[in-house]
Amino acid sequence: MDNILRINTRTRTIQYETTPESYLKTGGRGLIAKILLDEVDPACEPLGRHNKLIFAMGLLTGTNVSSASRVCIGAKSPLTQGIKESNSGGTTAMRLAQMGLKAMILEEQPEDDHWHYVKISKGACSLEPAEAYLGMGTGEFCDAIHKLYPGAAVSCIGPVGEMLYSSAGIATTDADHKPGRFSGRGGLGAVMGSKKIKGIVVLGKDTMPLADKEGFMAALKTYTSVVKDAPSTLNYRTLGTASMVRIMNGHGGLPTHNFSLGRFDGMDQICGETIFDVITERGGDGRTSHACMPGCVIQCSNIYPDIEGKAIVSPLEYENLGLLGSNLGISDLDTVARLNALCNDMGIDTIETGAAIGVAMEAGVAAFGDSEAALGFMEDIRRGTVLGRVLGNGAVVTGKVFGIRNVPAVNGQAMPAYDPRAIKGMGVTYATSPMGADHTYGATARAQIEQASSVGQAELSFSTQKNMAVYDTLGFCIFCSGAVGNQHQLIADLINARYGWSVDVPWLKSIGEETLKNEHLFNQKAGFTKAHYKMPECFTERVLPGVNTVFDVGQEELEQVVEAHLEGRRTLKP
Amino acid sequence: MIVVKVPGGIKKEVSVAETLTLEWKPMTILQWLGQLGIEEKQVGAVLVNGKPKKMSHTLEDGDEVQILPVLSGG
Repeated sequence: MDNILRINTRTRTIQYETTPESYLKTGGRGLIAKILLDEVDPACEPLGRHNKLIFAMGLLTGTNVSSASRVCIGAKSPLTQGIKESNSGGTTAMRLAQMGLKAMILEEQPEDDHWHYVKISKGACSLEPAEAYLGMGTGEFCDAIHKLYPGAAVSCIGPVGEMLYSSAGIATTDADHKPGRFSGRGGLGAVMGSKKIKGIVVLGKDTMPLADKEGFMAALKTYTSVVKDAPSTLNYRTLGTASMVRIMNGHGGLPTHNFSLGRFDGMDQICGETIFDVITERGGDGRTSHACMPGCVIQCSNIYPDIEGKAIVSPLEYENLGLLGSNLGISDLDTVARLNALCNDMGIDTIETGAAIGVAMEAGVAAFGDSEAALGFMEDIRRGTVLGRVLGNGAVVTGKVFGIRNVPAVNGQAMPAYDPRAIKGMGVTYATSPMGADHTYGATARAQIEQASSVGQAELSFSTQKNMAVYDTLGFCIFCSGAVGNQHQLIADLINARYGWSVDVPWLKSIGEETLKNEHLFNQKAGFTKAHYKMPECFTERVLPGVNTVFDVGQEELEQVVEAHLEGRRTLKP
Repeated sequence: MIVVKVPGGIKKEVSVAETLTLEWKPMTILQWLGQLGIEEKQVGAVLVNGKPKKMSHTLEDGDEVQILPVLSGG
């Protein structure tokens, strides 16, 4: 795996390049940051020809290591105007790695109106005409591609990506060939659409070369048993991320009615335990546990069926239950599942969409709890009506248009389903991430800390951000982190056997730190200052009922987190 | 009697996993957690005989209970 595939969408030339030495010992999110810093003017316009869309593989991607083949996609974001990496499960990265690719770069943009999809197989790549697929949802597009190429891995955009909405994401097919996995955040689907690329289609499978096969198999056995047997894995496999609904409600941090409340009266109807019972009772296509990528032993995904047992959506997860459920006052699970499925099919970020509709509901465009209105908004977004375009460009745009200041967003991107006043470490993560409000950048909700206190939250978020950066740079699912804990040597052993290297735990930490530094450097060059990394006043001045507090981690501490990353410091304080 | 498996780290003072055998009483999971000194929001899920149950579920004599840690969402 030592090639970079470069596709110029203007000249339609395709090149295979040998990976430079400086890129060999990184991957995923870390490689995206390096390529963007090296090749993209940070001040460029995100939907212009100078931006590039990058798919980068992790260091163990393509092997049979569980949860190590996330597809990492990045560019300068049209939503935040800063660096963006968004990763998901699915099969595309695994297949791209098996085709011998370390990264794929889409650059420039066409001067004509022709659309294409990228077809990749071993040693071959072509741009195929895609006009016939325009306007198709992600499901219809994948079905059409699978008729031509059964079993192909696909990453694609839906109609909202074609319309360049700032909330457009990129969908990736799962192990069942359904496009339910999303690099949803930051508008990467619009960047793909700006290059008039409908999708990436990867054919074929292969095995990855191993420098020390015996050592690899031994390390793999240990790693798999640690991940498989961890109590956290059993929870992921049973309730999935939906288990967080009850817990966040308990903390008073479950976004409700546009983040005006942190506890939801209908919580019991949308919690993980109820989802488990509904799926079990309905049967049919329903699955309480499901792997999004082949070989995953965590299997946190699910398939949620309708009353007849026919699949509505896969997966139905915590962030979507929060943003499309409680945040909109909707407690009917089937409606939440349908809203989720509609977002997936049109190719739009569920978090941003839920937040935007919440803002519109606060403005009185519809009442909280009005399921029919919410479903109608989805139709607006898909059809591209004026209201749909407002909502589809995110919570901040929606707030501006309707004159609402209570907008749950940082640096242009909407908050996931953790109220930062109740889970203050997450608030630090939202405020200091170079990618806008992003929970996966430093998810602190499971830490043994008084979550609503401001004490120690900056340190907690800082150390969590460093840990998450390691997993993202390796292309690993961060859900492994609960199982692996501090046993990072397990991962180092796998890397060493795969490549014949001799990396150690401090090296693993250093690649995470390098990633964080490069991302903040990119934003600094794009014009971000430390003052950009702050929590909006609707969270620092508006008390969250129930928890009776505002977000009160000081601006000085937030700036210290950014400064520490920029300086590559091991500790928060110099 | 009921058997309760508690993972390490759920209670601040107990870092290692423990298995407790307790005399059964007709109490809900939430009440049992209170008796064990475990905060509900520190619990990711509770499996009773392998199936997830809500906090309002009343345990029966002979139940095997597994308490699971909190996850990060996604």
